[in-house]
Amino acid sequence: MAVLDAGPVRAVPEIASGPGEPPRTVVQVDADERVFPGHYPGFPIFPGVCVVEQVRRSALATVPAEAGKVIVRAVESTRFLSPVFPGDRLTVELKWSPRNGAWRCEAVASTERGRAATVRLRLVAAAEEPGPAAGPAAGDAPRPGEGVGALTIGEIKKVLPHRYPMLLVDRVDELVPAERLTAVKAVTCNEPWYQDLAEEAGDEEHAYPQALLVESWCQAAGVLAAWDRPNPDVLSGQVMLFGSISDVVLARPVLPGEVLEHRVRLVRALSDTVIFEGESLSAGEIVMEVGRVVMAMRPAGELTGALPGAPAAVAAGAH
Amino acid sequence: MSDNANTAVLDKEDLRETVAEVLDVDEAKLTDEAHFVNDLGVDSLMALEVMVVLEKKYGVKLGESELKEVTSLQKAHDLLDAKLKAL
Repeated sequence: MAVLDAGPVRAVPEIASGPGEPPRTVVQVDADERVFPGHYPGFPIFPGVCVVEQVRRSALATVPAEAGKVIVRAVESTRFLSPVFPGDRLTVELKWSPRNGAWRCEAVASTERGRAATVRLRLVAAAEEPGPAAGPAAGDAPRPGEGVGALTIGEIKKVLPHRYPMLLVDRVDELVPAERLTAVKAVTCNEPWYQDLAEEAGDEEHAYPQALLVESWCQAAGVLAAWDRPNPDVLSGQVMLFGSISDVVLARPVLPGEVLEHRVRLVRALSDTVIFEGESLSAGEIVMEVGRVVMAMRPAGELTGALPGAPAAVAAGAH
Repeated sequence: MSDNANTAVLDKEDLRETVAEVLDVDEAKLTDEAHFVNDLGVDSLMALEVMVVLEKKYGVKLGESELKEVTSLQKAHDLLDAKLKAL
């Protein structure tokens, strides 16, 4: 099937609401989506950013006529409420409202078990592309030489449970424990997200999927959060869960060939919860700003126990 | 970082808008006295988020014990007011 947009998931949401009803879409989470083998081996969970991707697609399928052609400029807020598994059916309910010359789309994505995520997007007229260039990165350039040094891909895989094709950090250049990290992600048209792209697709359609940009940055944050207590197994011990992602500004599309530098700063750590902020740069230019990401370390049982049909003992006992 | 040069002055309606955005609730529901946990369903992650947003916006530092005191918009306002006066 040839598609026009590169994306991490194949399934396309269908509009389920009638004329005059509030917009609503449904989409099946197929077990053969290509993200599952790497997210995670042995325990497939639909990545939170893929829920956001399905909300984005649902939003773009239900744009109010008066808004014209729009693109997603920012993910103002995303709150992850419960995991989504292969075989689930996602329902997305959307609410559009004009706001400060742009559009806001508020969405609730649910499975049969209840709400999975709430998402708030800011969309602007496509004509504004490439948008207000964020320009060169401001002040906080990392000072070299203070960190514990670089991590190779092999070392990253000892910290993160993500695997191909969902391991989206190539190298860590600097890691200052409990403070900051700089990581590198090279974007290439060999990534599987480009596989089904139509022959006539142009540069615009080759933009790296926004959801995966966010995922890649979050994985870099995950390395900073977990490097001193690595647990590349999602089935035991403490696992890292994303609580929310807010104020992500997507400054411009990223194309194959670009080498992204993710800068992650730890804003606050409180017992088992950490808040990060930062940005991604390409050749010194900011392509994405990340306002804040809340990450919590939780017993693996909270995930495995949420699996439909999981015995209650798993939820209570695994750790 | 304590860059107080471009931090906001305390205005209750501005504070209400900021907190409502973080908590994803209607400003109308975020009354002065609405209890964050009991009335608005705020969890510990959201409470921490509110804290870092307010710290950044107003250029103050809030402690863990102070976080627990902030159970309503009025209490957040009073705490920030006291913090800003002490600067």
